[in-house]
Amino acid sequence: MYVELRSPNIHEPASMTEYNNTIVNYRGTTPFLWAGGTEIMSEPDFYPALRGNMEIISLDRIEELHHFLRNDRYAEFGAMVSINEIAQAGKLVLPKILLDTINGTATRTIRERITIGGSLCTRRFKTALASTLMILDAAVELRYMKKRMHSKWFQISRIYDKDGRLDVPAGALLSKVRIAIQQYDYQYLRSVGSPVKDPCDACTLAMVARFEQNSISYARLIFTLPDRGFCYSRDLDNMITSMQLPVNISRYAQIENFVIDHIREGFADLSPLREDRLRGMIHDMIKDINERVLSYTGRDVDRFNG
Amino acid sequence: MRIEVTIDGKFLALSLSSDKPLNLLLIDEMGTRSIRNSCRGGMCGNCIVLLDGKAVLSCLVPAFEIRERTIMTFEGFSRTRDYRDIEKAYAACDMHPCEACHASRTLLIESIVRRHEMAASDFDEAEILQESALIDCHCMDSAGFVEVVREALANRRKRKNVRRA
Repeated sequence: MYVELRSPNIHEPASMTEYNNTIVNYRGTTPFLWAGGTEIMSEPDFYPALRGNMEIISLDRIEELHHFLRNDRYAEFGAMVSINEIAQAGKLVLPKILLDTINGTATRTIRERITIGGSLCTRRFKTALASTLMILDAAVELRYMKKRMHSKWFQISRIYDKDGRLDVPAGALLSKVRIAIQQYDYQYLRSVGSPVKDPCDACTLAMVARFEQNSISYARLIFTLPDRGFCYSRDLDNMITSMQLPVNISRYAQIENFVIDHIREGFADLSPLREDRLRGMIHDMIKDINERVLSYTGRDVDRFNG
Repeated sequence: MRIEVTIDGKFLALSLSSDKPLNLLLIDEMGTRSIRNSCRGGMCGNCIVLLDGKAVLSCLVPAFEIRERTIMTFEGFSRTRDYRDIEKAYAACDMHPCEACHASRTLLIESIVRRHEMAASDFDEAEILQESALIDCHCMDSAGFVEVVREALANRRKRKNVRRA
């Protein structure tokens, strides 16, 4: 049935030097960078491919991309480390919200194939992992070709444009991800719907915060709409930090409306189902903050981390 | 592209398109009947095979990734002694998966059992519950799935005489 199709060329560099040579040799074409392949393989028209002369660079054999290291301040993972390995290696040190995001991403069988680099570079949908890493101020190392190979560290939020599309130089390789090791007083993650099966109505809310007596001194809040991108802004963070705790029930609707209007401004329209889901998430989050604040004695910070 | 691979214990050299998904490869080249290609990468979970002993969705694995690796399909696995442990577990729990998901569910259970058979601690029930959602079929409830895994694990440990701390 597929006999006449041209088989794509597969390049499997074993080191970054070989990768650089491959990129130089194929300058002018746009090779596919192949990490875990879960997103590419789940595209409906992936096989038989309609594209001719496809060049695939599989990153699996590059040893450097499988490394990870940790010190007192941060953990650094190569782009080809699977998210399951990250959850297992960082069980005791990484922020709980990150571990929850990874565990909620898929079943273990799939997680073993999803790489951290691949999940940050998805094209069809945006993952909750990317947004969680954004609020944790993670950074990524990009390697890209100018006259020669360059590498530079960027905050994760800077590798996406305002619509959530990946905005990196053509042929750039995301090689490392650096995550700061720090815990927060409050970490909240709520995900509804599957970004793969239901990208138009799925949404995720992630928030980290630090408390100071009856107020929030630091907050980062982000919404992920898999088909549209990420919604985060200083306005939302300021709205959270300006809340007097515990939040009065009469203010719930006001906060929900503020956030929904803000998301609408950024993403044009929301489907009724998605709006309902977002309202529910915000409501639950405020309720959860109230519960934590009312039961907080000021001594046991660990209680905030669930 | 020429690929050398071991499928169900047979060493094969195949010439095929490098991006062909493993499930199509098995259906077209090997005539495997236990695998379905209903979702085309939509993660329905009905195309599980064991790749180097670990369960994978074969629709998400391209041909170039299986070079020099070992694949076990349900056809091959059902001829092994390990399969008897799972078959007994189905019977003991009185849970029998439907024809559509029997092969994938069995290989998924085998993968979980292999992961835990030598472990000192008991398995994480929440993780197994999540794993049960991988197969998009409602013939067996999640609690039943966990029960079968537990029983299969006990059978395996008993047969291999694994002593736990």
